[in-house]
Amino acid sequence: MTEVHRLLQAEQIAAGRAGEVPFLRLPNTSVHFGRRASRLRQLAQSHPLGDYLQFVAVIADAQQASMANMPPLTLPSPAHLARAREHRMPPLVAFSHRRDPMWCDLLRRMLRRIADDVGADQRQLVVRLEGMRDEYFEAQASKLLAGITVGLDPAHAPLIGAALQVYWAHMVAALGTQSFHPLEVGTLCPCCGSRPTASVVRVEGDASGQRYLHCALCEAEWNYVRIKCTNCETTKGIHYYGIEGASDAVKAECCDECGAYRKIFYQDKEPNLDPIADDLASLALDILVAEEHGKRLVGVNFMLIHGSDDSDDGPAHAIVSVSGAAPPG
Amino acid sequence: MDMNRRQFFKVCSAGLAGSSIAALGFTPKPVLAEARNFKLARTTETRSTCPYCSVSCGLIMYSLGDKAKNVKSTIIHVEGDPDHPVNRGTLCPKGAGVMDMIQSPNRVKYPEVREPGSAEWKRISWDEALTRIAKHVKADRDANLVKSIEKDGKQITVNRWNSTALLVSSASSNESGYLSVKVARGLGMVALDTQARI
Repeated sequence: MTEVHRLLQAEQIAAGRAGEVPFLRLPNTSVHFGRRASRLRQLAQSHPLGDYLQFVAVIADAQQASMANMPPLTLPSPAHLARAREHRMPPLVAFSHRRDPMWCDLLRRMLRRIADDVGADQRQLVVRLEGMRDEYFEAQASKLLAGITVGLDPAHAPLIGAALQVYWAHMVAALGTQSFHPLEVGTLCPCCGSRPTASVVRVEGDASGQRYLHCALCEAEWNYVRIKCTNCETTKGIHYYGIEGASDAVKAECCDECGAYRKIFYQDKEPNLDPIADDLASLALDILVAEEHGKRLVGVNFMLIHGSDDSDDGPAHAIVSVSGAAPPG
Repeated sequence: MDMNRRQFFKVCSAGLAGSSIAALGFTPKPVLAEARNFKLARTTETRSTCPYCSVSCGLIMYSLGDKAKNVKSTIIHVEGDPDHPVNRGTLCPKGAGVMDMIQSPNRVKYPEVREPGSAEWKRISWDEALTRIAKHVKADRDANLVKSIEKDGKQITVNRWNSTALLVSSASSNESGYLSVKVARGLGMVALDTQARI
């Protein structure tokens, strides 16, 4: 196995700051989604899910393009940030934040761009979604952000989720690290309270082997102790499954206490990895861990919403009212 | 069931047929076929303490092997624990090579004794070893304990045991450090030190 060592200078040690790692890593919005697109295209080479990875790469391109020309957004007031800090709550809570209606325009612009670069079947679907009303977008967004699958369209979710990611990543980056602080619960995003997609053992910048959880919504990453369940926070019975003979860069971190698993990526084995892209590309690992060992997926990836395994959840149950989210207008 | 509160669905082949992949016009079948050709390897990561010196750096030890199948697991990699407040992921060259000590054919794994006059090391049981050590310790203390000394023309009780010393491990907790001192001082031992001080 390879290992990355960081050499410390004598002055660093003397200053007592050697090895200090930042709690929060925010997305660099000028390159973030573009890097994801290139990683997806790299992974798509001779991959059984190659076509889908290429499709998500087109979404990531559209995300990067919208980042470049974001209109001014309403950001939370300093009083709101102070209140969140005082009560140790995330300032931009995914399911209760009052979304600026401009995010629907952002979504439409992204869809128009995506429609030009995808196959005929997908183009039809994307064009049809672009013609939907704001109310539909808001209702689907509220379900997605609250983790409600009933009535959520699995074909629309990645597209709507992509616009929400851009909107939230932009707000988080605009507010900066000083606006956020650790929560009492270590498993939810300190910026938006969402569940993470996966965790990454980082070896770049100030990190040398520390683990970060990657938010499914706002793309922020926060430090979380290793060998500890990212669902129930226990340190007992943690073990890892990887695919024999495949890359060491991806494993499923499983917990015997709560029966959950979430993927963990090792950046020293794969410097260009992207948690969202690599999570999609390692779907075979999900299938094996879930079916052979009965572990429950707790990682959330807006780019892949899983369907139901029983027939109870057909369209008959699809109309539900969503509480908690309050879309303006 | 409260349908409003239902979380995202679990992963399974049936669920993939209703997933975003299928709904967007792609097929998950090749991935399902691929998964059937793969086997899982189970690993564990365990926190430990470097045995070499007083700094007591945190380690993460990676081992391979499926405990459920009664296969003996083997350590495949050791690295500094990045979450440990002492070393924060770093290790010195000696500590970074601790794998060689763990897997060394010369590593002592059980008590052995070389009898006076013999050139051979002989394997003995833990019971024998502990009894033997206790007997030697007692014989030495019985022979060499200084019960009292004369000072200013008076006999003063001191109970000093000068002929045996104890070195305490650097990986000891505060509690075992406290107990070590109580036992050693209780026997009258004067030369007492810990690796953590060196």
